[in-house]
Amino acid sequence: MEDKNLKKLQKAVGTEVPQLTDETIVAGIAKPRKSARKNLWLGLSGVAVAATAIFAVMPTQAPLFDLGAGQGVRNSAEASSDSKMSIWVDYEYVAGENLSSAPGNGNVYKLNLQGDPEAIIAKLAVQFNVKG
Amino acid sequence: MDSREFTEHYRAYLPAIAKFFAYRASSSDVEELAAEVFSIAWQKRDKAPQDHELPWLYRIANNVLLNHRRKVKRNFTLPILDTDLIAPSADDLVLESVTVRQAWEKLKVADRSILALTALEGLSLEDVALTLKISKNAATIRSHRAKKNFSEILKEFEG
Repeated sequence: MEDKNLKKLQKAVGTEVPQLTDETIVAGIAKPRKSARKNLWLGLSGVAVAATAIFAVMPTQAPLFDLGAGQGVRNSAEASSDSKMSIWVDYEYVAGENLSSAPGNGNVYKLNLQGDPEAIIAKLAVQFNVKG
Repeated sequence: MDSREFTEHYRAYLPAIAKFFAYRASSSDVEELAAEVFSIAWQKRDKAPQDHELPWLYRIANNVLLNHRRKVKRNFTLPILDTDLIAPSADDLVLESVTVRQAWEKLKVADRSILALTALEGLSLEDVALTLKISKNAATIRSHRAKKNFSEILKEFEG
């Protein structure tokens, strides 16, 4: 079945195939061809020329004016102070669901004064050699 | 191998190369393209695989065709696979039967390329494998699948 269909295909082809002679092969042999090495050198020289052209057109002189010079310094200072100003934002902190409601626990210390305050000060004055 | 020996040896492949280009290029370009193939083959004659010159020539022909299409068509884009290039269109083959033409146009590119090489150009599966750089087993499977697909599509159009 498939072969039958292939024969239909072969039969339907209407392309005319030209008869080639030995002359085609002879013409091919006589055809001058560039060697691969020559092509490589041509390619490399092309790249070199392109690179030279790019460097030649690149600007080498100083620009006529510099946007960052002179007045620009003052402006940049102003800009610097301006940049310190920030917009007032009123934050509202709302406790989330994950906030614990458990009471805290731990040790609490209290300092108690031992003795007469004037006697203690007099003692410290003697210790640090303070008069008066 | 001198030029006379080369000509005598490669004379046998002239009809195959002529057919390859006749199915894929303009008839006016066939002779020039074939000459280009033999020019490259002459330059690389020392690398020609013995007893497998035909698939070797087909591979050269494929590259020559690729370069030719680049020159002819400005907007030519490289095919994803080489097989896409080898596949001749219905116009290239000047298909005279309407149903065969419709079936050929609907057939996948990969199927068309392998059917053209086997059914129209008469390459053995071994030579197809070498031409397409695939294994003989893969060539056999693809050829079988292409024949089956073509038959099924043709059946659709024939009703």
